[in-house]
Amino acid sequence: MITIFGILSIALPLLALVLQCVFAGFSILCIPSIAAAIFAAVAFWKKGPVLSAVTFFLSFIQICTLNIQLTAILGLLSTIAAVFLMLECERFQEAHPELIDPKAATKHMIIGFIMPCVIALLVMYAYPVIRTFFMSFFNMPNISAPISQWEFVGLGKYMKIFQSQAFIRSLQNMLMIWVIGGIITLAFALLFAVILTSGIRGKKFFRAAIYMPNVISAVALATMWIQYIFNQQYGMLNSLIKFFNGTPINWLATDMKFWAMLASFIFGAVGYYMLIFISGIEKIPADLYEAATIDGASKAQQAFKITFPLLKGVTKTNLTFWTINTATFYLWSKMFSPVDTEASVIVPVMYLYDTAFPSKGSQQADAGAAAAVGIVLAIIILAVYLIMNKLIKDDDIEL
Amino acid sequence: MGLAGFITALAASALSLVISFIPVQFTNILLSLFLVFLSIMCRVIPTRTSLKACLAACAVLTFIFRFSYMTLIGKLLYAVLMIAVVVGAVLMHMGTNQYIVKGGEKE
Repeated sequence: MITIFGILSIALPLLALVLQCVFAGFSILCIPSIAAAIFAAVAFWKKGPVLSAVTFFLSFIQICTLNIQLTAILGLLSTIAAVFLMLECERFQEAHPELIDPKAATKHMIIGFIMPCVIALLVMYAYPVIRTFFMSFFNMPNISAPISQWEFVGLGKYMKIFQSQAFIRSLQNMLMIWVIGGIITLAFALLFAVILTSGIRGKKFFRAAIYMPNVISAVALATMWIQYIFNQQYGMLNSLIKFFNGTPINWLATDMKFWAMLASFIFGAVGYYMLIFISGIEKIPADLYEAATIDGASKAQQAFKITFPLLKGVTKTNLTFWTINTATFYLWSKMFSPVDTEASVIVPVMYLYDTAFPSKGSQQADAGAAAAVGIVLAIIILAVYLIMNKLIKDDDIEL
Repeated sequence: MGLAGFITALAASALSLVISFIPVQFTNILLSLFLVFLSIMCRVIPTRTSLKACLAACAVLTFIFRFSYMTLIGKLLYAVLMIAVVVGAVLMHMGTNQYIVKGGEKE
């Protein structure tokens, strides 16, 4: 009996898959059927009740995903077959207790529990990534166009984006944000972290105050900066300049806009990196500082000789986060040029968005080029991470 | 307790099958059919805990999968019915446990 139900559990999802592909074409909806057939085969081979239970659930999902009546009925039948397979596997294990490997049962249980997450991860994360990668080599009418309408262009999309002035400018802006913004943000974050962990009064208050911009929505924060700080007539900065009889500056003019945006972004980002530095500093054993104090080291010497060298790992983490933050920089840029993308504040993600979904009627959407931008960004992040891994080695604290 | 659980689960599954026809929703019909099948299986092989667990899980999944395809009344009705199926599965399980504790033997 186990053989019959095993074969049925494998064959029915495969048959449903074939019919679905013939009548409606291959799509993401076919994945549960493939997974059900694979799991049925493994469950049948291993005679595992847990694996057959997973098969059963995958077959059950098929009923919803297969959108043709005939294939949905096959999904129902394969689910029923999977129920019997599960029962037969249980019976088989009870009849042959000597064949049961206690470790295998645990392994099957682990696989069974992990599998829903793995499948969700593959569908929600791996599929879009792989699709984006392939999209970057194709020309297509829009982002959701079926594969039959894709036209292979090789590296054409990469050539196109690197020939675009706007993309080169966006990369330059990103580089400036990464280098200048990174130095200022991480320097301030480290400074605040060292000060706050040095035993000053009101540590909790200052920590919360510096972290506060992260709690506020970035849109609200950007609006606050644009309206209250940089406003030419009523802004705080120009009010200060007027107070000292200076000439008001147009902070949001083309030449100043980038720096205004960077300043407000840094203001919002410092608190986050400060918290990570604080957690790193608090991990350093107090004995080291006590020994240094006994040896006569000043606070500054302790910071340069103990704190900074032992924060290499945390610095690497912060640098990685900063790189990702810079590569995915979008909202601030959009807030500082809400109507039309300005070259002074354009960043790669904004270029990507404008390429995939152009706001001007005259521009044509180019999903392939947008995907190529995404891939270039991913490569940049990966390269920076690998270089940092090579350059900065974690120094574990030895006690 | 086992019989009460079976009647609850079967009645709720059958009712969900009936309302799947108003209007006709093919996937709902198949899912409800499967719940009916599992409810019967739970009664036929009462000693298998896995079947009851599957029945309860399928009831929850049925509601989750079809949630966006139903009207507000349908959602409320389905929620009540699926809870009834879960309760039925739990009652059947408790009934079997009681039977075993009282001296019944497992098949």
